[in-house]
Amino acid sequence: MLYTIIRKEILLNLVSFRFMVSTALLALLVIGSMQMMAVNYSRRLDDFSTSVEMHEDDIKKISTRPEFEAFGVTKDPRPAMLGIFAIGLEKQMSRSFMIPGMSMLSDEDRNAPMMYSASKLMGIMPEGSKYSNPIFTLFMAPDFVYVVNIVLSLLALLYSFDTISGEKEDQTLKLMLTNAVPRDIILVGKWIGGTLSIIVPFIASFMIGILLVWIRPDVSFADEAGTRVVLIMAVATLYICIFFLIGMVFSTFTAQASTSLILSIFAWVIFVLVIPNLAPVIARQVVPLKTPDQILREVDRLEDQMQRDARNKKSDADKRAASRKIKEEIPKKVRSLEDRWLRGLDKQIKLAMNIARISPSANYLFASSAIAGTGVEDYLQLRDEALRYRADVSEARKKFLKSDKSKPIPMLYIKINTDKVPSFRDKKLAIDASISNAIWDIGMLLTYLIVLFLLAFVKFLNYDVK
Amino acid sequence: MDNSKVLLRIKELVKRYDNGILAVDKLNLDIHAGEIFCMLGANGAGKTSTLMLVLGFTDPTSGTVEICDINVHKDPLSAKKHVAYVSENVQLYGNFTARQNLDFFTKLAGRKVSDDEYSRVLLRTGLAEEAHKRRVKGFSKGMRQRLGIAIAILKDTDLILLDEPTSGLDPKGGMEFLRILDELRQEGKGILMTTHDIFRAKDIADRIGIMSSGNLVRVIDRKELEHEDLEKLYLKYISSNITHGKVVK
Repeated sequence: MLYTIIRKEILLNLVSFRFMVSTALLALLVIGSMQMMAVNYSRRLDDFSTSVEMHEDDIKKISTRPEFEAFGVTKDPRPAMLGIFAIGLEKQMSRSFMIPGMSMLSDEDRNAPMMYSASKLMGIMPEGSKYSNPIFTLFMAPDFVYVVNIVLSLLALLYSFDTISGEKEDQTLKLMLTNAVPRDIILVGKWIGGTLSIIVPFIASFMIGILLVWIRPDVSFADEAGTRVVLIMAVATLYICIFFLIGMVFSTFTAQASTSLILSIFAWVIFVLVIPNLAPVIARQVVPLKTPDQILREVDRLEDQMQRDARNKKSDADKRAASRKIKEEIPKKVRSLEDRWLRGLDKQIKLAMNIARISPSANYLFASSAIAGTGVEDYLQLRDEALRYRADVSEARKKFLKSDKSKPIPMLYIKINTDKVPSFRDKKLAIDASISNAIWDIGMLLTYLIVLFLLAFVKFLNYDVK
Repeated sequence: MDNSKVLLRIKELVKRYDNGILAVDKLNLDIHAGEIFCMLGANGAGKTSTLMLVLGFTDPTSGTVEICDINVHKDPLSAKKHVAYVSENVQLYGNFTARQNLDFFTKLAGRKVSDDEYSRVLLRTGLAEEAHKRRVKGFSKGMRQRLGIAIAILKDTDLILLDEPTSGLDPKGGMEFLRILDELRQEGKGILMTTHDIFRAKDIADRIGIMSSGNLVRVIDRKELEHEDLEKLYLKYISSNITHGKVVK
């Protein structure tokens, strides 16, 4: 009996106009987005190779301390291949970043006012985006996750909004229930049949898309990448099932398909557009954070005041003591403000994510980008690696300075050995860490699935078919 | 064929809706095998409410409904195995062909039917062969009504409920419909049909019940029908007892 209902749902969808349109749309968007993103990835990979080569040459050319201080060290994180599917924060993560050679944070010799840009609190300067053409920013290529998040969720609702109320209007539900068919079987059959009608063409499009991406020379699904791709697809499937159920729930709450359509679209707007966009705004209000420029301005003022105080000292000894105090206090102050700012930022990010998690759309985005290695945790991991690298560069610089002291020659002629410049560890999260980061959101999606199904089930058991 | 067997037994059935409307008021009715019972009544008299109670779609305020000795509200799934239903406006799945609709509802009823039998039943209801593989959304009301009857026939139940099945049918369609009902009666089916069409009811019914204010105010059998002017009788009862869904205390 269950099979009969599932078969009927699939057959009815197969002969419907919406199936033709949605299948064509799916093929176009899923395959097309993967191709566009794969081309994009190839380009980023080329840019990455060129940048690495260029920055390595730059380092080799540096031979004196002033050159090192002028140019700093620029590093290039490797583009994430799975950004083809979930671009996430890849645009931010794939940007080159520069550690200024004049970094003041542990600069024992520094006695001049801060010389780094006030907008780069952390002393890590992100380079220009690799997306140089502004039109590309204006019309961003939709990645697979975007297509699923926006288009597939809407399509799932369009398949399900009339599952119950539409059949009530057509009186076919009444006719079905004049048979000895339990209502739970009808509901499960409709859910499975309806979901399969959208998931099968989706998976087919995904597989074709994967095959077309696979044949590209710079793409490989070896090692854990294949597992990650399967997980990305599984989470997408779960997400589609949830939106199908949202439409179905509204269908069991209403007597007219038009009403359930309006309610479904309202829910879609709330879940997909409102909550994920509102969450960061709320988090900014709840956890207010000064901008890096404001913090640096504060430090500037403090330093100016200390400098004035030092100049006003009467004896030279007092002036020297005050000057030493500035050299000790200001870096400590900057470090403390930076730590506080980073903790505040982390708190703000966490709060925004937790608020957004009310929405299955945000759960899906967080889970997919975490699995693809382009999520928030990956971004924070890269940031922490960059901060560690900054400390390494600072330590290396100390060594240059120590060698200076033994040979009191003009700074301009102090030679440095660029082999001593530390290398950057572009450490990506392993698959188990990525899954662990996604597990909370996958759990939320599963909870949504169960709760929505139970809601539809309970409502349909008492649904008035008359 | 045992025509004394009671297929549908309604006892002291009462349905009062939450808004206070008394739709069915202490209704008693037995329908036997091989009998066609036509229920006449104005809009709001309680005909459709009675059918919904018989199908178990509405819970009664009091009273019982039994189909083949099975209490509909205690064991609805068992009771539904013995009843088929044809609604006033058969819609079915517009994107399915007649055959696909028939196939789905027959399988849902738990029956396995050969292709030949599908064709035979569709032809029996007067649906021409060329229409069997046409999408139902292009069907006229009469054709959909025939298909509805075909579904009921293939379910092969003892009791058939028909909710105003002849409304909107042309005279030829109406006549063919009555012919099918007559054949079903001869096969021993019990038929409860609600209708406004007193002429067709008079032609086919073994008994006619006039319903008003949720109860059968008069039941006329075949013999009485030969002597009574049904039209006058009907108008007399419905004009004196029209409630049209008013709250009856």
